[in-house]
Amino acid sequence: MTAIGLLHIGSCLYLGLVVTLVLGILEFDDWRAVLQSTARRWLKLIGALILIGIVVQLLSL
Amino acid sequence: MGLNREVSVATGVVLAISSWFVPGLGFVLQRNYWRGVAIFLLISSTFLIGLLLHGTVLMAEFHYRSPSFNIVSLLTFLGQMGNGGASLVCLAHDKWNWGLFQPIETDPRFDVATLYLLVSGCMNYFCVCNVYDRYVARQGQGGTPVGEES
Repeated sequence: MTAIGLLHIGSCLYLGLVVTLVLGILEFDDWRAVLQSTARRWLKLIGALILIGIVVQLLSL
Repeated sequence: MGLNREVSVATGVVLAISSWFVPGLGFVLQRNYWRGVAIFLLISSTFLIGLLLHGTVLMAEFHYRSPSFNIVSLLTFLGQMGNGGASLVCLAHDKWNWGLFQPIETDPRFDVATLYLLVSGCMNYFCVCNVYDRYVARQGQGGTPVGEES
């Protein structure tokens, strides 16, 4: 059960990275801009997901 | 890094279809190699991980009167078909049972695997639209393709 949970968390991080990286590659022409936009979007996404997780955890107490 | 090349609508459609079939191929055909290879590696590796987690592309039920009709599985199928070539291989594999990989619908990882295939397909839809938009639509409006100013 723990392995499946870790798989879900790892998938969340990886798939978020893939989505943000593809969007960055399509949008920008040089690698620095791609990496900057990817990092910015990925951190926003993960931050929002952590926030949602905290809210769900608090509401389920 | 990019090349500003004008193409006809017909060529743009061919580029879009080739991008749908093999992720990034439309960019490579326009000599935008780094973008095409990066897109191919990202989308194909995501699809491959989905297959390694025992996932596959399942044909959806299209008859809405059928008891097995499910709008979620239908939308999932349409999303997964965004990665055209790999999805068609999966469908052919299920039909003729080639034995290359082993999808297990009862495996607890099957849902996550389906998500990997779905993300792969949906991101390739973005890439297909971007290929057409970059090389045909924006140039038709007299603009410079996004990301190809240099």
